Amino acid sequence: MTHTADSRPDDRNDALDLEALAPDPATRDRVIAGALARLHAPETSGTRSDPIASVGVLSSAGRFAVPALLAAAAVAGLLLWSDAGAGPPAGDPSSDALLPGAPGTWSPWVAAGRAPAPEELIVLFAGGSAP
Amino acid sequence: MHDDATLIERARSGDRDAFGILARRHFGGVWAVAWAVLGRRQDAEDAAQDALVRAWERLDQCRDPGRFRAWLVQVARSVALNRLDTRRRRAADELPEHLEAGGPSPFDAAHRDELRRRLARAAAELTESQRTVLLLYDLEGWSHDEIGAALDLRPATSRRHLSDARRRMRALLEAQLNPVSRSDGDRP
Repeated sequence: MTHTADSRPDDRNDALDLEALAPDPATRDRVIAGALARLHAPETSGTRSDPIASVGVLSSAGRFAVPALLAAAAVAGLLLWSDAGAGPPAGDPSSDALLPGAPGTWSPWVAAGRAPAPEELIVLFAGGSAP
Repeated sequence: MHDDATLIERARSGDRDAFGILARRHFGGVWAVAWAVLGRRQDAEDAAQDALVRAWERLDQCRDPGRFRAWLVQVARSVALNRLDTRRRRAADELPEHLEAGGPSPFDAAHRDELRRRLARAAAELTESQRTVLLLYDLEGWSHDEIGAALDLRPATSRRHLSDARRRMRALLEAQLNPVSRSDGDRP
């Protein structure tokens, strides 16, 4: 225990034994493991360069002509956001909805050294925050 | 062994392992305030987990890494109070305090469960501030300065809460052992 200037000796000597109220190790480990599993990237406040905050969402009505853009993005080290980096979603890839991405996940297409086909691309993020 | 400041810096960069070390290191305080506010062990677990997640999300708001654990406990208390408020709105007829002893645990010996029940029953008679101070001081070994910083109390007030809480707890525990001598009635 830490004794500081504001602790009178009798404060500590007179302590109640409350050890039985402490969480058991299994509880502690369960709570912490649960919390860690829920963590997302901490909020940042513009610490990264953000030349293109959010290029946009591809939809069936407005797909980008992406190869050149993707090449530039790959060179610049920009991130591609996908559904947890696992490739295109099982559902409609042309949905306008922003799909959840795992922050910092490199697109498997970038990792594979190729650009995704337009229908594979969900949303291109340029170092901005997760949607 | 890294100090808090180093771990916070790493956690701010996205290092979950570093945050895990911080969480484990300071879990006692988080648990103490969550239980002091909510009483039910399951609720305290949920609140503690929520508090850790919120702390991670708001690490940038911890201005002074040297006072991280006080800041973390502030976060945990806020989460627990919000949860208590929600619970009260859902069950307006519940008693103001909901401390319970918790059911038998396969991890605990029987005597520990019995002791826990007795302590919890007595602690339920304290105010939330008294409970929190008592747990942080006697269980977690915090100083009155630290408690004051975390709970927005003057150290002298923390000391008074501690003194009152101990006196009340001793009387209640004594009354549990000798129910005939109870002088405060026969409240269940």
